[in-house]
Amino acid sequence: MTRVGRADPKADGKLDGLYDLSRLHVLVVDDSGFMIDMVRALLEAMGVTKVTSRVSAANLVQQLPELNPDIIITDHIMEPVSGLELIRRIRYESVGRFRFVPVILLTGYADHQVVVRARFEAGADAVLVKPVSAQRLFSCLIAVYESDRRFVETKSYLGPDRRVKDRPFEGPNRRGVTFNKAADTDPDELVFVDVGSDSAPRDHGQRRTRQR
Amino acid sequence: MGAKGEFRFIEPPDFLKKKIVKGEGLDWKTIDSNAQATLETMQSGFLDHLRREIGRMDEAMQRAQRQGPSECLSALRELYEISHNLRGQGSTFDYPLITAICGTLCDFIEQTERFQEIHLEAIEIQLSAIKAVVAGEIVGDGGTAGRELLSSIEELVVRARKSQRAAKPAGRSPTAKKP
Repeated sequence: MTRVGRADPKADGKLDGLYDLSRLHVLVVDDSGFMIDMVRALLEAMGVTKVTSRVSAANLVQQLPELNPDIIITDHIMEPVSGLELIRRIRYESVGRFRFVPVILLTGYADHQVVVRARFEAGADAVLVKPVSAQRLFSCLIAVYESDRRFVETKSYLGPDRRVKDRPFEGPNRRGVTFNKAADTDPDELVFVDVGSDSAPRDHGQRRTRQR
Repeated sequence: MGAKGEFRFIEPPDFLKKKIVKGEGLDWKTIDSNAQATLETMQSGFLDHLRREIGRMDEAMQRAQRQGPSECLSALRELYEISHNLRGQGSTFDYPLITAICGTLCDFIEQTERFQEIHLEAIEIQLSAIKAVVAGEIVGDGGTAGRELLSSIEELVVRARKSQRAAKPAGRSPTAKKP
C-alpha cells in the first residue's frame, strides 16, 4: 500500500530522543469529525492516552476549567468561532491558568499573513500548516514543549513572547541583535544594531528599526 | 495594560513540563510505525468520507444554482468550508489531486469579487473534477491524466477571471474578508 501521511523527508533525523506523552491531555477542536479522528489517531500513535474533542469553539472558553487540557490543537476555519478567535478568547476571556494554555493552530493556509496573524496577533504558540503528518505534528508538539518562552502582555496582545532571546553563539562575531527594552517604548519595536562582519563590513554601525 | 507602549512579561504556568517526560516513552521510529499503521487503516474510511462530503458539496452546488449568482453566498460559503477541509486532508491520505483541486476551488471562491453565471459554471466543473478523482480512486498525482486535469482547471479559472473583469458585478464573495 502507498505510504500515507508522508512526512517531510528533509526533516528526517531531527526527531531523536524519547518522549513519554502518555500523561498528556490534548483538546482537539475541529468542525470536521474526520479530521478529529485523524488527529486523535496520530496522537494515540505518539502515546497520548487522553484526547478530548469539540466540533465547535463556541462557549469553549467557559468549559476549559472543566475540560482541563494541557494543550489545545484547533482548526483555523470554523463557524461560528474561528480558530484565531478562539485563541484570542482563550488569552483574554479565560480565567486563571487557562489564559496561558499552549495552543497549536492547524490551518490550510500556508501564507505568511495567516502565520503572522496567528502567532503575533492572536497569541498561538505554534502554527501547523496542513496536510498533517505524524512527523510534523510530533515536531510541533515537541517544539512547543521545548520552547521556554515567557508571555508578554500589551494593550493589544497576550501570548508567547515573540522576541529572539540572547543566546551564546560560538563563532566569529558577525552581527549582533539587541532589543530596545525601555519601559516607555513599544515592545513590538525591535532595534537591530549591525556590528559589522568579519568579511564584509557593510553598514557598520548603522541602526535600523523594524516595525512589526 | 493601558497606554500604548506599556507591557509586562509574565512567567506562565507550565502545562507541559510535568506531563511530558523526556528520555522515556516512544522514539520517533516507533511513533512513525504506529502512525503509518493507523493511517493505513483510516485510508478506506477516507474514501467513504470523501464520498459523503461530495454529496454535501453537490447539495450546496444545486442550492447555489437554484438561488442564482446574487443570492447563493451561503451555499458557496458551505462549499468553500467543505472543500477547505478536504484540501487539508487529501495529501495525508495520498490524494494530492483532491488537495490541489479543492485548493484551487477555495481560492477561486475566496478571490472572486462578484459572482456571475460563468463562475458558478466554473465551480461546477471543479466539483466534477473532484468527483472524477474520487470515482476513479486516483491516488498520487494521477500521472499524465492528473497533470492535464490540473492544467485544464487552471485554464478554466483564468478564463473565468478574465470574464469577471469584463462583466457587470453580481453577488459578492462569501469569503470577501479573509478568515
